[in-house]
Amino acid sequence: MIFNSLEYAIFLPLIFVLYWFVAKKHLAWQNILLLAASLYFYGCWDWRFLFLLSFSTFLGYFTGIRIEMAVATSWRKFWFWLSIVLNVGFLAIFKYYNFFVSSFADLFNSFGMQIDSSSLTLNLILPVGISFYTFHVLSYVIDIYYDRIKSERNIVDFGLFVAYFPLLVAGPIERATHLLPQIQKERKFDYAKAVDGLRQILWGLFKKVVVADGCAEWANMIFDGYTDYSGSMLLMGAIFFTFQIYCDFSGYSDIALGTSRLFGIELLRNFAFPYFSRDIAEFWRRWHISLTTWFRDYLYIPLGGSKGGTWMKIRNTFIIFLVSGFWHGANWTFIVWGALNAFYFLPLMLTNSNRNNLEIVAQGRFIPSIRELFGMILTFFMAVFGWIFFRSNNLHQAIEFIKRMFNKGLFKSPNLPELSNLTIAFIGFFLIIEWFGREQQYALHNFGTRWYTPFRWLFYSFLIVCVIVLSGKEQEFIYFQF
Amino acid sequence: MKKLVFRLFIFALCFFLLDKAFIPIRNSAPGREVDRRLEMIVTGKIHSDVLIFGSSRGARSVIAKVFTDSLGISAYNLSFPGSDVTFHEYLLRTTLNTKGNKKPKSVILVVDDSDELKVSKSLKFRFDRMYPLVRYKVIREELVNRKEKKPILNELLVLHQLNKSTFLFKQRKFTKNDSIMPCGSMPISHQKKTFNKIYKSQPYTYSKDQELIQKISAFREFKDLCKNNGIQFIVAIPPNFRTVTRGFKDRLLQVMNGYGEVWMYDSLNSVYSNSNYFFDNAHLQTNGSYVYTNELIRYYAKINGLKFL
Repeated sequence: MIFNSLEYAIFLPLIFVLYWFVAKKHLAWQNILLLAASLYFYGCWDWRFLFLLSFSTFLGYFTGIRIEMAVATSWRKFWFWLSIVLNVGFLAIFKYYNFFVSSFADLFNSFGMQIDSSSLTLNLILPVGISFYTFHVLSYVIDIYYDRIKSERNIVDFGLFVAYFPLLVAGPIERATHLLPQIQKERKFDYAKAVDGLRQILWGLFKKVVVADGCAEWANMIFDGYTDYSGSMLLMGAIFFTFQIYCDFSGYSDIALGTSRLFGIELLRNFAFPYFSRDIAEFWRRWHISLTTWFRDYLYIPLGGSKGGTWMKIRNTFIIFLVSGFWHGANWTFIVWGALNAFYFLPLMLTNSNRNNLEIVAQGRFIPSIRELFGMILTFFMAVFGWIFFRSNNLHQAIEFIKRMFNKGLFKSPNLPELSNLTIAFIGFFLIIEWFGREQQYALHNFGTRWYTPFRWLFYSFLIVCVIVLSGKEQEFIYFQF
Repeated sequence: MKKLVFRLFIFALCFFLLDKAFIPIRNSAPGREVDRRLEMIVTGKIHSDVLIFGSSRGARSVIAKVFTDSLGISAYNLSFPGSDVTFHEYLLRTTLNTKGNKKPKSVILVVDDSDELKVSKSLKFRFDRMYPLVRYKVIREELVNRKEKKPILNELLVLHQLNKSTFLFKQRKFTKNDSIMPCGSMPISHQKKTFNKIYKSQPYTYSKDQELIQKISAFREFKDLCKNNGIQFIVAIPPNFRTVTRGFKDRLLQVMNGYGEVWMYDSLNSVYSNSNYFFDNAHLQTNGSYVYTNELIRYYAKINGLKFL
């Protein structure tokens, strides 16, 4: 069951009605209902995945209590590392084992040793959302170990923290310090919040179905047949993918946040208009925020952050970007993408200008300055270039794609199919709305809320019309594979 | 809570009414199309004795009008460039099931030796040809059957029946490569710019690698439709600008399992190794199409005992 499916359109109202009408007087019932719904939601992919999710949940629950109860430091360490090793171990086996085996085999083969990697690889299906819920559990265990939080004794509440369906398969990656207190607190229905949640779901659906899936059609066409196209067409393919990945993932996050708001639970913000960033440091503060801050808090700072000398700063920057790239998938393309972003970031960090742009661009104004505009365009195209690696199937394709893009064909007019004009028009519309709403939590947060009701409804109807007309076969969200 | 439910209900009601305003847009879409052949099928306007199905190779290579001129029998070409055998099967099935269409005496399926039964980038089920015709129930039902659309939403909302192409309000026009003759054929009278004109003389053998079970099933269903309706089934192999694909004819006969004929062009005819008769490596141009069609007609006349006019 995915957010842009008819099944979800039936599932969500049903849970909503049960939650607020049947279970509204008892917090425990509400949590049990949400947990049951979450397990059903996850089981819809493959019921066998539920065993791994349950194991991860019980492991986090049990080791969390043990860490807290342990008197001796050695036992604290033991339970802590047991939890870390098992959680990371499962992630490594399901996600990275085959990659390491084939990479090592390639390495040995290049030295003339004959190793057949196919006999060593495992035929495993990557469980949906494993990277996300593993990180939930890891952050919980780390926080207990460092005495930031108390362990959770209620298994339903803890289970809900790990498996809460809006964020289970593609985040945002929540923290126990943020989500658990909300799960434990009584929740009352708030009309304004519910309407806001619905609005965010609608905007998320528009981004996913209209912009992301529309761009996917052309990006796939161009990336799959990149040898047949001119440089300008390849550039268009990379730009289409740039909008596809953003609208796909931030669309998912909007639907997740909006859904959760319907149940009175606020989730962490995941995107803050990253394509309006004026430098790459700002981009990374606005892109996949929950993952970036996770790595900052649980990896970068423990490694020493930016407190040490220059070499330590460089080392830590590379580690965090390479791990971030590798988190996305077991492929060299993601690692190169991470490394490329580290190279983008380093000059800013070494010149202490990585925190120059903390506020949103043109705050309080409508038109940005020339300098801001230049910064935005440059950062956008740096991101476009990076996404070529992210989208390519392998490094060879990425390099060939770039080589073919930077030739004289780059300056020819792209020969796009007629229907792509509609997608370009939707990208334009989307950018305008995002620009208007860039100072808000999400673009539609305040957009049109003061309009005369029929006009507002007409605007919402327009978005729904676009979503319905353009929804053909359901397209999965890109980040499900991570 | 009640306020929210009430307002959502009112909004849904208004939206339902708004949805019905899209009926005229849906219904006007077929009028903007230049290729009306699929519409002819679903409205029961196919009345020919010989029907030709296929992809661009069928559309370009067989000029249906020559059947009428040479043998005095009516023929119509229902080949769609870029379409695969699953689409051809759908076309034949719909032709036979739609009231008003005449059951053909013969069906000629023009096949593509490299893509007919295999995974293919260039051939697919042409949903894009169906979306302009969603005003017809039979088209909507097929889109639902093929999981392009949801059954409940399809019944409930006009908007769900549409596609982005519905909103291209421009009248379509014939292009240099896609002009359709009154007999449904689409020959081309020029050569592709990138055609290298080098005849590949090395032998080429058909391999079953990458054959798709769905395509083989569709091919068999196509044959069974002919068999069950007493229609003569001829599979025609058109030329490429290279040597014959060895083993392909045998593979087709194996899949056809005893019903129908496979006919292949005369590979010794020097026309098929002369680039002046080709549009590109896989398609004939008009002069080549006439040569090929005349060969096909001679074969057709022979197996049916017909005389030339």
